[in-house]
Amino acid sequence: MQVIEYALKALEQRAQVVANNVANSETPGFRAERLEFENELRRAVGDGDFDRIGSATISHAPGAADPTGNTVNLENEVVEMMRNNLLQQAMVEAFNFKSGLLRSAIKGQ
Amino acid sequence: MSAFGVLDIGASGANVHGQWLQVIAHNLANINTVRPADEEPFRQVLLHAQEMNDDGGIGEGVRSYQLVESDAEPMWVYDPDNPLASEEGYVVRPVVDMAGQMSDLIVAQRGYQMNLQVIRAGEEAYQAALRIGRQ
Repeated sequence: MQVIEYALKALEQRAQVVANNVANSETPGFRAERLEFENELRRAVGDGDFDRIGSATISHAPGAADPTGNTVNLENEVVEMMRNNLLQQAMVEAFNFKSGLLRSAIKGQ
Repeated sequence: MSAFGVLDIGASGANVHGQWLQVIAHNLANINTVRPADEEPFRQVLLHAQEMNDDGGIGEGVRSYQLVESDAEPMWVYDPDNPLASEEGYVVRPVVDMAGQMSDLIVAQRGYQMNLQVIRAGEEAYQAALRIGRQ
């Protein structure tokens, strides 16, 4: 459950980062950003230590700049947005599945 | 950032691109605005945008920053029949880069649509989040 909760929070933040990239797709000098949380989550799951899990990190996405110094690539952002939404829906399903298991365990059915 | 932040960010992007469309429309509407040769010509206006990110964390969208007039060299044309012509018969043409404005028009329009799509995707994600805990 902690994994799902952490992932849902991070996916919401990533959706904001992608939305910000699209909003600034024509802003001179703006560099596209990416939010990364999978490595931190993997490490926490491996260690079984969720008390010391770090927050997600933001970095600049690789890619060539246009003449104004902007590095946003709209196609990449669309893909990122779709991937993010699907992951988020998968996490909601996973959460509901887990809570369904807990519910049956509590009821003893 | 308030709850449902993606919606605010998408709205800021749609806003700025909408303003950009307005500015382009204004420039193109004045594509034939000639003035007497001794007056300042109509100059096309450019919208400067700026990222909104006050705390250095996740950005909060985009805002329009300032409007700048083009400082390109105007063109004086000989048109003695024009009622606005000076005594030597010259008028000054507006400083509007038609080809540049037309391509900006497409970019602004697509950017506007793209930001609306972000709002839709955000809404979908938040709807999914509202299903958390349902059976």
